Amino acid sequence: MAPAVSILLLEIKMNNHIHSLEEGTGKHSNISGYLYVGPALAILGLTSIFPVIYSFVMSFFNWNWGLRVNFVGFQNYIRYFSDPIFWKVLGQTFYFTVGAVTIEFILGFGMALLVNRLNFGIGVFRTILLLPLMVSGIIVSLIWKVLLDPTLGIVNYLMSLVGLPRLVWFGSQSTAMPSIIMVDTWWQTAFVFIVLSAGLRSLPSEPFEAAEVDGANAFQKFRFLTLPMLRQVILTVLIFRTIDCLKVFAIIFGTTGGGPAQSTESIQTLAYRTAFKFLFLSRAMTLMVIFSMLILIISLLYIKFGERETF
Amino acid sequence: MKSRLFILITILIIVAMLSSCAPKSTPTIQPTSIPTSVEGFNWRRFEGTEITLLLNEHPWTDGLRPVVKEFEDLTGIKVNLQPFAEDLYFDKMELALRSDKPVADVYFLPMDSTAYTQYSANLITPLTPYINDPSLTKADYDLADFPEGFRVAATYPPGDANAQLYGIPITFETYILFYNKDLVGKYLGGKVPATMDELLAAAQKISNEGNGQVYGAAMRGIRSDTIMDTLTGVVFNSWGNDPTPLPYNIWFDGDWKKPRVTDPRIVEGLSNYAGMMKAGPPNIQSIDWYDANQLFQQGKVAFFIDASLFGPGYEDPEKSQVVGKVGYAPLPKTAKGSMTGHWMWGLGIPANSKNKEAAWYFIQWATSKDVEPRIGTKTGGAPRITTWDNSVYTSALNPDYVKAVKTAMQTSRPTAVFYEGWKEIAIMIVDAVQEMYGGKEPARACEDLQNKIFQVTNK
Repeated sequence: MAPAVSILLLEIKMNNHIHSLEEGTGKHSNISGYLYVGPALAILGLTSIFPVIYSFVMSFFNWNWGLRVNFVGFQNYIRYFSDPIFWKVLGQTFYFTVGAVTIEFILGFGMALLVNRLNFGIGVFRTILLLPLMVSGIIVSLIWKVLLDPTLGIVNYLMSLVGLPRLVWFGSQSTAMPSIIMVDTWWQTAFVFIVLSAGLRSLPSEPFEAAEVDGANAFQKFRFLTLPMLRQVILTVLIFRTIDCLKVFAIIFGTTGGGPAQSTESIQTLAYRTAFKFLFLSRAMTLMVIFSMLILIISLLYIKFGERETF
Repeated sequence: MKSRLFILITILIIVAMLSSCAPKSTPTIQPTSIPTSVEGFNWRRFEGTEITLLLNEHPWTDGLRPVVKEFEDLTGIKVNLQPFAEDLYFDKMELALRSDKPVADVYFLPMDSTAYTQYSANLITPLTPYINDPSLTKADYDLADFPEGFRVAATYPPGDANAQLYGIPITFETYILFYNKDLVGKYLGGKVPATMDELLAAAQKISNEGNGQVYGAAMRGIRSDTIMDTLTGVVFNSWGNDPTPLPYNIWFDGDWKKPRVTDPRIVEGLSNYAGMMKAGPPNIQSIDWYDANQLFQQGKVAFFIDASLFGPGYEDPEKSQVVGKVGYAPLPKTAKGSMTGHWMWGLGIPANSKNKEAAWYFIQWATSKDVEPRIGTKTGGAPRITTWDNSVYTSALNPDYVKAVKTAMQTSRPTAVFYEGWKEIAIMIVDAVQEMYGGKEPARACEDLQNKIFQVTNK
């Protein structure tokens, strides 16, 4: 939720900026901006800031969701920072994020560029691409878990028919995470495609016509016109996918549960297990506080990066 | 003007949302207070009450559904069933017990460290006072019909003279060997392995020759504390006859500060489990009981060691491809003989329930000598001793199954460990097995495990 707050604060700034442009300077324009955003901030505050503060406070105890509530200071934080498993899981979360976001971005952008050139069938193409996105995460993971079962699944069966080797997919430590990245790609590439497609269609045609007249080829048009003009849209897409992928839970929980042997465990699945299986609520809250700080820093970095090069 | 209207609307929305957050008082029908001296036992004493059952989607729940109306007709108590798939059930259960508003009056109680942890957090109701009250419990209930070895798993504090019972067993599972007669005939010439070593070799042989179409064994191979009970059963088989006193069970030598997982019997047991895993499909580390059960039901594996209650499902033609082809046997013996473990679900009453007596009426009825055998035909794990001589129950089950379970029960012991942080230690033991599966030398794996457990319990 913290990134949403940052985005909202950005909204306020933008609102103020727009108002002072439209109505001139003065307190009236500032108050209007805050009033527009106020209700949303109030609700966000109730629903997200309170749990954040509660979790932060409880992370200094050793609450086991029962009668044991003792103050332990920074013990939970020290435990995690000195735990190699924590760093391994964090690394795996980043591995998943970088892999999924990269592939989804390249595929989604590529498809958006291709579809942009089509004159017919765009609607059909878009609908088909959107279908996976309609399905909720846990259903996606259950479907793929059945499809990719090495012994009973249909994918291996079809592959064996054409002479390809049967893979273990989620079953072995080396192929599990790539399989999960593949499932996430199937699911979320449409999001990248939709946003970038809309961005491409909103680009003005005059610069492209001018470039055409100047004799620019397709690659030069892409590099010097499309990319810079799409910069903000690309950044938005990347920030959304990054945060979403860092918070991955359903895709991993439904397919491998974090296995085999913890090789696909992400921070969220670890926190879930710590809280609801071991009942170590304070430790799980510590994990979430650390992780939220991390996501907040990353999203602030993205926003700073986007602000620096506005045109 | 426009902005004022906008402000008014947003204020109204906020007020509406905040008022919907205010706690509502849920009306509950309280039973009228009855004077303590009441003549005899009356089923209709709590007529008009409504109770909620929080249930696991378990064969027991399948057995309950057709008969629950009988309870409603008998007592006038309305029953709301709330079943959930097992994974989700565990989360719902923990939340329901800790809620400050009552969620359920009866719930599926896991009779192991989970219930013990709930007891330690004062979340569950002792049933002993209800059992001992003749106005609340019918005279022929016969609690002693439940073996002592079953009741002890929900009697807390463990070992205390004044301990009270917190759950009534409804279904037990003991860890036995299922084998596919066709595959045993095809690959082993019909010879069922008689010892654990023979089983390991036979399973490996079938996997090697199965060409990816069939495998020697299916086991729960995932990294989760939930495989602990099956694992303990296999380790019991190597432990032999020596005592396994609760709350420590085999893992500790009479004191939480003294883990003893380097005991050669434990090393052998854990190593046997890893050996069975090695004879499984390549994705064995992703396989939970559901997947393993499916594989066996579809005829893809020759051997499956796990809970006896999977047995009745194999004879169901709607789900199983191996009807009539399944053999049932106690665990093949080791040098120490053939031993195994058992685990139970029970019914308990949350401390936050407002209808505890009506809840007790349901539990009493569902576990009575009349009803339990009928529900038990779906589970094959009825806990009452007399049920196993009741033809209503035994005639619905495969006779080889009944024989195997009866034999196993003679040497079966509870797998429970009553330690509040047990699940954290359980997963360390599971990790050690995973390391053995990955090729680590069993004695080394157990030494490392010993150090890890020592650090946790000696803080």
